[in-house]
Amino acid sequence: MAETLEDRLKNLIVESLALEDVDPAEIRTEEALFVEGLGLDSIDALELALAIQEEFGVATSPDDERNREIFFSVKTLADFIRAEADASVLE
Amino acid sequence: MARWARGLRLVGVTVVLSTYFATAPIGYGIFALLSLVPTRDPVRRARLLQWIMQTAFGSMHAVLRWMRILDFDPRKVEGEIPKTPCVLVANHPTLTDISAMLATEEHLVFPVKPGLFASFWARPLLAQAYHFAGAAPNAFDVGEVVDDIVDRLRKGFRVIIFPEGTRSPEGGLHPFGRTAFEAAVRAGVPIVPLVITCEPRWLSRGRSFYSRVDAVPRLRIRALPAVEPEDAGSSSRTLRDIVCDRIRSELGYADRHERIRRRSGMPRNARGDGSMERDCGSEAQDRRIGSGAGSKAGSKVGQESEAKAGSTD
Repeated sequence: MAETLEDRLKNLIVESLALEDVDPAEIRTEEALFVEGLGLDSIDALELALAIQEEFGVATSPDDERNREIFFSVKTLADFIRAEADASVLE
Repeated sequence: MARWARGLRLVGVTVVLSTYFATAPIGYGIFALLSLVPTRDPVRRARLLQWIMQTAFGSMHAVLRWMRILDFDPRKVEGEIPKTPCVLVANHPTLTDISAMLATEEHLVFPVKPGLFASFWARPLLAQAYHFAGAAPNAFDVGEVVDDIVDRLRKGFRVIIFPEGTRSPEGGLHPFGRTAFEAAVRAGVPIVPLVITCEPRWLSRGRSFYSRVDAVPRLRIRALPAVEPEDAGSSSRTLRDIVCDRIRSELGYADRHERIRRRSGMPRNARGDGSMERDCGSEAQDRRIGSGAGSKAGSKVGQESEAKAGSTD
C-alpha cells in the first residue's frame, strides 16, 4: 500500500525532531502536536516548519494568522500541504 | 516578627514605593535623553544605559537592605559568573530577583514582556539598552527571540533568562523552556546556572508587597559552574535537562521528589522511565532522548525564524 501524506508527515516529524523513542505509527493523525498530545515545543515548531519547507516546498508566511491552525495536527498540516504544494511532491 | 515590626515594615514598603514612583520619572527622563542622542556606537551607548540601570537597582537594593525590607547585598553573590558572553539561567522565586541580578552584574540584557516592550514609552528606552521582547503566547514567535539572544551574545553581552517563564512555585519548579538553551548552542556560549533563594518568600506569585512575612526576607544568589554546549552534545534539549537538574538538585527538590516517590511506593511513572518526576520540559518532551534536534538545523533555522515559529519561556 502506498504511503499516505499523513504517514510521510509522521515520519518527517520523528526524523527531523529526533524523537528517537517515538514510533511514527503511534502518532494519531488528529492529535495535537504542541503542548498537549505529542508535546512538541516552540523550538520543535521552528525545525518542523523548516523540514516541511525542504520536503514539500511550502511555507507559511511569517505573520500568517493561520499558523496555529495549520500546525495543530498531522491532519491540519496535510490539508495545508495538499492545498499549497505542487502535485509532483505529493506523489 | 512582632506586630509593631510588621507595622513598621509596611510603613517602610510604602515609603520605598512612594519614593520610587516620585523619582522614577527623573530616571526615565535621563534614560530617554541618552537614548535620543545620536551615536556612532550604539553598543557603547547600550553599555552606558545598562550601567545606569545597574546603578539605579543597586541603590534601590541598598535602600531596601538599610530599611530591613529585603536582605540582599549585590556584592555577595556566591560563585563565579563569567565576564564573557554567556546565558545566565535562573529559577525565579520572587519579583525582586531580576532587579537583584541587574544590580549585581554589569552589561546584562534580558527579555521583556512583549506587551511592555511594545509600549510607546518603554520600547525606545529598552531597545536602546539592547533588551529585547520575550516570546508572546503565540507559539510562532520564538525564532525571533532566539535570534535576538544570539545577536546580543555576539555583541558581547550576557543574557539572563528565567526559563520557567513565570515565577517558580513554592517547593518546585515549572518546566523549563528551551529558548535560552537553543540560543546558547547556536552562539556557542556556556550556560551559567543560578540558584536563587528568598526566605521567607516575598513577592512570589500570590504574595504582594504588603503580604505578611515573619522575618526580613533574605535573597541569595549562587552561581553554579558553567555548562558548555559541548557537555550536552550541542543538544539544547540535553543542555536544558542538565541545567534544570543541577538547579533542582541545589534547591533540594530532586531529593524531596525521590523521597515522596519512595514513601508512596509509586512507580517512577507510567512508562517506568522517571519522566513524571522531572520538571525539565514536558512529559512528552522527556520521551525524546535524541540529541541534536535543537541544533542541527543551526543557522539555517535562524534564517528561517523570520517565519516566526514557536513560543517558549
